[in-house]
Amino acid sequence: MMRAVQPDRAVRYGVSAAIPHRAGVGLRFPHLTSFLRGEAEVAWVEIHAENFMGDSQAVAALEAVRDRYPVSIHAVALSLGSADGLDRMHLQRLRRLIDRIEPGLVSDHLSWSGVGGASVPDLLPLPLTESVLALVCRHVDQAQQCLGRQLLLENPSSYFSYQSSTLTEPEFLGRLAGATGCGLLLDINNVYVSCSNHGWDATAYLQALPTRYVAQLHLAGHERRHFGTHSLLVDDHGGPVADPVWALYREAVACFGRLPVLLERDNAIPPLAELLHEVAQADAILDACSGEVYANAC
Amino acid sequence: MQTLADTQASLLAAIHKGGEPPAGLLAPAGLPPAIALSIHRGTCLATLGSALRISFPATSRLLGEAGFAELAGRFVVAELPVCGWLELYGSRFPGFLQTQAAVPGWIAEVAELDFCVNRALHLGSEEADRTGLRPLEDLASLADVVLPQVRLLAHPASSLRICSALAEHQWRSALQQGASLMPVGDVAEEPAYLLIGRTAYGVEVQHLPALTWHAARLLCGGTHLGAAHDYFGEQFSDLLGSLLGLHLFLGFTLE
Repeated sequence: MMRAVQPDRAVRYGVSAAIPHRAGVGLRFPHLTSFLRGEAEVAWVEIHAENFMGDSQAVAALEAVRDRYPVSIHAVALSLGSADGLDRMHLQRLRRLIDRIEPGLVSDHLSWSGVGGASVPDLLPLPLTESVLALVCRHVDQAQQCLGRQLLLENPSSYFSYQSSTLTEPEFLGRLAGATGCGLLLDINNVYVSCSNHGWDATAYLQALPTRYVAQLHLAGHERRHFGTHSLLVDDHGGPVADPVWALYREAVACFGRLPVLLERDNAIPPLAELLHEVAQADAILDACSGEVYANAC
Repeated sequence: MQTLADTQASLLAAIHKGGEPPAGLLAPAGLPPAIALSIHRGTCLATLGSALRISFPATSRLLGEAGFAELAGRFVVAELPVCGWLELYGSRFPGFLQTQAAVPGWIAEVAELDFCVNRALHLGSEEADRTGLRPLEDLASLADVVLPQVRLLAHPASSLRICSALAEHQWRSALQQGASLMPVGDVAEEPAYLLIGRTAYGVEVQHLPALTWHAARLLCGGTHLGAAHDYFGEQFSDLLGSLLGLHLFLGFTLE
């Protein structure tokens, strides 16, 4: 059974104000020198936690970047939906990285990646049921307690769903945030990809999310893969943001107001200038937002 | 009724081995669920292959891009990571290479060196269980009577390996791209006794005298100083002195 919303949790795990409500970019190794020199004109950067765990020279370099840019930490392997429970060692490593970098935001995904002592480097969707919601709430509670701060949870891209699901994804995310005090990282590309694949209405998806929990946005590219006469959209982070995703982003900004928004590129990484062009485009849309958040169903 | 754990285990197996997906999955547009899972399978195989290439730089150069990709692909299908931090993935890849008939034995030794350096690059002292750990400086203040009960704790970044001279030469040459490889027939008679770990100057691969290496191995394995002294006799004090200067140990516990 789900617990009631605990409003004090949002206060206890208050979102840090250190990340500006502007567009930032994912810090990737080919661009590291530009950031170390402070040459990249961008408001903030986000890193993948698992690239900076342990005690390598990369972490020392990240500390130097942090001295010049606000940093957000995005984890990909907490596996918060695993039936097995959380990997305590992984959580501790994330905690040590957070203590060292003192990021403005920390996030992971509504997904699972391992069970039975084996793990895959991917974000797998969950059955959206009451019992899975209770499990994920328990794990988010444990993670936030161990990390001593609020987590943001990102909506996944999905290529399959479960017959057993009884909740919609926005409903699941909203109840998760209400019960645990976690925030939501809304990946606009993931919304577009999942909605296109499953035939959901993307605008209705945005409107079904409780405005107060959405704390960050992501933008990325996708590709269409063909399988015989069928095709699916695949979240590959390998190209520029597609026009329909920009359009959905405008809707999201109208819905949720000015938030930190991140341009993600993980494959076929282009010159930094190309990414910064998209950053400027994302900023322009934020600037065009009057600051008024349109009321939605929440 | 299938539990979440059962469903996840079946899904993981289907993604990893490319087998039949569990019942109850819905893929969009009437696609078979196996097609949807193939997207995840492709991501997993590519990411893990790439992680191995990064962790085994000399091995991948010596095997060539296609040769390494083939072997890494077979290893990935045989073994998934145990956690989401991929820097630690591949500890058993050298052993896997040893079982491959087409791969010369010294390549597996090169892979061992690659992975030891990888560990040294990433594993900080926080990875060790520091329960009851005392700093090495406190050793000097211990009474002689308790010294035999001291157990030293190795830095998690440290590894000790015995390696053929051929493998060590090929490993160093492959990392210094352009340096000439040794003809495989030129096998020096003496193996190298190596300590791979962190020093004040970064990650180093050091040669140790055989006796010092064996003492290090014994102590890193958790042998008490008293037992090590009994094994090595009077020369143990000198051996211990040289080992304590190598950044090999994090501290000690007293039992």
